[in-house]
Amino acid sequence: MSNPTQKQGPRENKHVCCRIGGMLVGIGLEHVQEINRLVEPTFVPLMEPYLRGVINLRGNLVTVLDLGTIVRGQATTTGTRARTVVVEIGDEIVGLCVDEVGDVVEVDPTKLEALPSHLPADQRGWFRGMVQLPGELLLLLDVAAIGALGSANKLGAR
Amino acid sequence: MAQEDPGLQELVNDFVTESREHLAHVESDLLSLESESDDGGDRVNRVFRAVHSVKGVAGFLGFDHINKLSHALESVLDLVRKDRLETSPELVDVLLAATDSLRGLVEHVQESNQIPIDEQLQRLQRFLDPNAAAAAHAPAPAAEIAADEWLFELDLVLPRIALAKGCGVAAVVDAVGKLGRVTAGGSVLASKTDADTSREPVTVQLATRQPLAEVREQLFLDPDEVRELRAPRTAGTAPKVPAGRADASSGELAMPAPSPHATAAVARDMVEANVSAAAVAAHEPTAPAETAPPAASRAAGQAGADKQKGDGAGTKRAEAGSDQPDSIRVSVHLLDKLMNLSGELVLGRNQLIQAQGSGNDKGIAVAAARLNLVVSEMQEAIMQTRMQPIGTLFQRFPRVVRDLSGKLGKRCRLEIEGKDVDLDRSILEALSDPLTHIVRNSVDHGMELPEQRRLGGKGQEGVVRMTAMQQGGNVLIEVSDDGRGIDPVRLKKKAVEKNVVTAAQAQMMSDREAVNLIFAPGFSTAEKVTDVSGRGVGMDVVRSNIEKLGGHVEVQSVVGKGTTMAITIPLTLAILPAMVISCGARRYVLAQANVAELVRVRDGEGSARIVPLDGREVLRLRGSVLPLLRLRAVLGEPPSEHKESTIVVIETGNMRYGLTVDAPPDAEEIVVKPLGRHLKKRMEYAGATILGDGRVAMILDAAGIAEAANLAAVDRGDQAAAEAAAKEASDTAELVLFRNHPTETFAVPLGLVDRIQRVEATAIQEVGGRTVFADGERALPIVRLERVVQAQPGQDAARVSVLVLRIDKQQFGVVAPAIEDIRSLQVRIDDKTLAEDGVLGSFQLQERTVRLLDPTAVARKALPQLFTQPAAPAKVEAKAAERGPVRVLFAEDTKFFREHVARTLRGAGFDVTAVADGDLAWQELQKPGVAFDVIVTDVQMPNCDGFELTRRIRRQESLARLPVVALTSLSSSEHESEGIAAGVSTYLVKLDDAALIAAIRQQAGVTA
Repeated sequence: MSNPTQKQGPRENKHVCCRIGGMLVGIGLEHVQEINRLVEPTFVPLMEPYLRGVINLRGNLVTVLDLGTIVRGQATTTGTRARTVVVEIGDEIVGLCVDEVGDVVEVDPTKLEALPSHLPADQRGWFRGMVQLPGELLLLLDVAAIGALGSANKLGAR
Repeated sequence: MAQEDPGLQELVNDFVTESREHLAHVESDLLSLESESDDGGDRVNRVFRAVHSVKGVAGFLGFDHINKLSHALESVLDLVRKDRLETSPELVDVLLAATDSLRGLVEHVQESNQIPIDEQLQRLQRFLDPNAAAAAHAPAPAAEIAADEWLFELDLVLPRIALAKGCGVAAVVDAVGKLGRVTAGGSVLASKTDADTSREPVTVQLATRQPLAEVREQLFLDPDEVRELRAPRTAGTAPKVPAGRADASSGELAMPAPSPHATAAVARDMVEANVSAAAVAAHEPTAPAETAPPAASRAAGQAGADKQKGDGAGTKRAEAGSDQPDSIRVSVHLLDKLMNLSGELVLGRNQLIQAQGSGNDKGIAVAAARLNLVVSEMQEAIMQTRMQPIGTLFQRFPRVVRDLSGKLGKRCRLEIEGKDVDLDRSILEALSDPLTHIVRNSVDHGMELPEQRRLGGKGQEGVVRMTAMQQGGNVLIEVSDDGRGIDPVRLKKKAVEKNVVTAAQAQMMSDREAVNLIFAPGFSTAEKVTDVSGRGVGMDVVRSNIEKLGGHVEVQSVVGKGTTMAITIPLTLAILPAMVISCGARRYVLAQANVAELVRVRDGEGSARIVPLDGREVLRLRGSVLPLLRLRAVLGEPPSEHKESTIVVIETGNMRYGLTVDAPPDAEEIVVKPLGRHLKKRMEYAGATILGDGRVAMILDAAGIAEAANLAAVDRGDQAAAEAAAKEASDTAELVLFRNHPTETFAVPLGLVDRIQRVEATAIQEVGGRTVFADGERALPIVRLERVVQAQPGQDAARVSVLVLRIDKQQFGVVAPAIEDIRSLQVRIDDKTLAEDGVLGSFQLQERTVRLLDPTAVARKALPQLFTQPAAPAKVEAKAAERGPVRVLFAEDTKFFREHVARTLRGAGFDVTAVADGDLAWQELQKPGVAFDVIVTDVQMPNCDGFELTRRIRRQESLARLPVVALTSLSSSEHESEGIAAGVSTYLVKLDDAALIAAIRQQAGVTA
C-alpha cells in the first residue's frame, strides 16, 4: 500500500526519450532496467502482432513487445539505432522495441499538458500526458497501460 | 491487529514458521501415540514441549487465542505425561482436533484472536475436569445473541450441502457466515476447506436474524439437522441489565466483562429465562463478537479460496493464505558449499578475463575448463537447496489413513519407507494431490472390511505401504496395499458399459492391459461417487498430473492379493530430456516423455500410411488409426515444399496422435525456463528453453496442441471409417515384382507362382510357332509379355528368369528378364489408366508405376490352345439351363477385386450378388426368400472375415451345407488349415479365374 504522502523524488520525473516513428515518447526512468541493442527476438508464432518474440537476457526469458506496433500500428525498424528498452512493470520484465533512444530529460510534473488534439483516439490511451521540450513534444508513456496488455483477451483459451 | 513495525512483523513471521513445524511434528507424534504405547513417554514430552513453545511466543506476541488453546492442550498433555490420563482414541481425536484448530489459528495469525476456539476448549476441558463433562455439552454463550436474533444449532454435513448448492465446502462456510454469526464451533468450521470430504456433521451454533425456514433453505438442511435454541424477543421488550458477571444463582451465564479476548473455558449453562440479560449484555460484546464470524468466514473464505488456488500441480499452497513469506530450511553445510563455490566462480572468472585480455588461448582453455567444473557443481548444489526429503510429504498420510479407515469401519495401517529420499519442493507439492487420491483409493476401494479379510485368510488389519527409492535420475514411489486387488474382468465389463472400449477390444485385452483401464477418463468403478475418494476425480487426472511432471504411473495388481501403484518422477523439474524438432528455420522442443515413437512414412510401403479422412488426415500405424497433425499447420506456418515423411507419435495422458515434422528430431537435455505472462496464455506452449547456441526455442505442450486442434481421440466410428477407407483403397497382396524392360515393372500375385527358374536364354526355343522351354522331360509353354500386352521387349541376356505360373492346373512360364523383389504390399489399384486385356491395373510404388498382370487373361491370350474360356460341357449347360443360373454370393472388401471377379463370374453365366463384407454377406443369407448355391468369399475383410463367415454358416442349420469357396491373396498354408478348420469347402488363390469358375461349378454340382 503506497503512502499517499510520498514525496516526488527526482527519479520519478526523469524520462528516457525514445523515438518511435515520428513520435518522441518518454518512458519513466524508474521503470527502465537497461537498454540494449536490438537483437532480433526469437519469433513465437500464434501470438498477437505486437509480440515480437522472446530474447535470452542473461539466462532469463524476456518477452519483447514492439512499441511501434502498439502505439502507432507500425513495427519499429531494425536499423542500427534501434534499441530494446527493458522495463520493469509491476513484477514483470518486458522488452520494448524502439527506433532510437535519446537523452534522459527531467520533466516538471506541473507542466504536464493534455494530449494534442490531432492524436488519433486509439493512440491516446497509451500516454498519460505531454510536455513541451524545446523544439518538440514529448509524449509520456503510460507504462501501466503497456503492462495491462494481454490481460483482457485469452488466446487458445487456457 | 495489523503490525506496522517491520521488526515485529519479522518476529511474527518467524513465529509462524516455527509453529508450523512444531505442530507438524505434534500431529505425527499424536498418531504414533495411539498406535505405540511404549516410547510413549518420550513422545508425549516432545508434544508437550512443542505446544509449550507455541504457547509462550504466542502469549508474548499477544495472540491470545493461540495462547489459550495451547494452554488447554498443554494442560491435557501434562496429565497424560504424568500418567494421570490414559491415551484413548477419543483423547487422541480431541488432541488432533485441537492441533488442527491451532494450526488454523497459526495460518491466519493476524486474525487468530477473532477466530472462536470455544468448542476446542470445551472438548479439552472435559479431560481436565470430568465433572464438567455434562455441562460441557451445553452450547455457547447466549450473551452474544441480540434481541432480534434466533440461535440455532446446526449439524452441517458440509460436502452434502456443497453438492446441493453446487459449490465448494469453503463457499458453504462463507454462506453460513453470511447468514449470521457462528457463536460456537466456528473454529472447526473455519478450518474446513474444499478438500475436506468428511461426512461427519460439523455442529455449530448460529445467531441469525433469518428465520428457520430461510436457514434451512439456504443450507439445504433436513429438519433434524436444525435445532432452535432460542427465538428472538419481540422488539422493545428487552430489559436493561448491566453487562458483566451475572447472578450465578439465577443460573445465568458466567460471562466475563466483554473484551475482544474473552473466551472463557468454563462450563456454561443455557437457561432460556435469562435470555434478557444475555440480550443486553450482547450490546457491548456485540461489537467484537460481530467481528468474529465475519473474520472467521473471511478467514474461512480465504482459506477456501487459497485451497482452490492451491489445487492443481505445482502451485503454492497454504503459504498464500497468510501474509507470511515463503521460506525453506537449508542446511548450513550446503550454504557453506555454495559460498565456497561462488568464491571459486569469481576466481575462475578472473582467470578467464585475464587470459582473454592477454590473448592467451591456452589460458582461456584452462580457465574455461575450471569454470565448467565450478558451474556444474554450483548448479547441483543450488538444486539441492530446493530439495526436501519426501518424508515431509509422506508424513501426512498416516493421519489420512487413520481417519479414513475409522470412517469406513476398516482397519488399516500405513508403513513408510525411504522417507529420506530427496525431491525438489515443487515436485513434492505437485505430488501431494495424486498421492492423496491413490492412498484414499487404496483404503476405500482396495481394502476389505476386517471380517472379509479374516474370511479371506488375511490379517484383519490391512497394510498400505508407501516407499520411495532413487533410481538413477528418477525417484520411484510406490503405494501398495494388500487388499482385494483390481479385477480385470469386472473392470473390462465396466469399461464396455461406459463406452470406454468396445466389447471386441475388451475381449482382446490382456489382464495387464485391462488393469490399466483405470486410467481411462471418465471411469470410476465405485458404484456411487463416494466422496471419500474425492468426488469421482478419476485416475486419469492423477496420471496427467504426474505426466505433467515428466513422470509416469503404472498399476500392477493381483486379484485377492493387492494392488501397487508405481510412480516414476524425474529428480528435478528443471532439466528435461527433450527432442528438438524444426519447422523451417525455427526450432521447437517436445518432452521426450511425450514421444512414443518416430515413424517414417513411405508411399505404399510398410505398416504406416497417411490416409485422408473427412477432410482431415489420419495415420494408419500397425493396424491402429491415429489422428494426424502437421506441425506447420499447428504453428500457423505455410506448408512445406518437401514431402514431410517424419512423424512423431505423441502420447499424452490418453491421447495418442501423430505430428508431421520437417526432419527427424535430435535428442537433447534442456533446461526449462518459465514463460512470461503473455506466452503462458497460449496452450500450445509449455515453456521455453535456451538451446546450446543461445537461441530460444519454445517447448510445445503435447496436450495443449491436441486441445487447440480440437483433437478428440479418434473414436471408434472414425477408426472403422479410416480402416474401411484404407482397406478400400488397398489390399495386402504378396506380389512378385519383375522388370520386362528396365523401364517397365510388372507384378504377379505370388500365390499363382509355382516357382521361379533361372534359365539359359538359349534354352528357350521357338518350336512349331510356339515358345517353349525344355525342362527336362516336359516342354513348358513360355509367354513373352511383349507379345501379349503393351510392353517393350525384354533385352537380350544370357540368362533370364522364368516365372512359372499355374492357372487352372496348368503351368506356363512368363519370361521375366529381371526379378526385382517379392513383397507384401498394400496397394491402391488404378484399374482404368493402364488396364488392358492382360493387365488388371496399375499402382504406384516409390515413384514408379507398376502394372498388375491378369495371369488368366495372359494365359488365354498367349496360349489359347491350352486356356480356353472354360466353356461348360453340353451336359453341364443343359443341367444349368434346367435349374437356372448358379447363384453365387460373393464377399470381397477390396472394391477392385470385387468388381473384377464379379464381372468374370457373371461372364461365366453365374448370377452374382457381390457384397463388401462378411457381415453384409451374413445379412444377405438371413434374408427370407433368398437362396444361394455357392458362397465365394475373400478371407481378409474388416468386420467379419471369410473364416468367421464360414463358421457362422456352418453353425446355422439351414445353411450348414452351403459350399464355401475361400479366396485369398496370401498363400501360406497356415491360413489354409485355418480355413479347413472353419469349414471351407475349397480354398483358392485370387486371380486364378478359371480355377474359380471351375470350383464354383463343381461345388454347385453342375459339373459331371
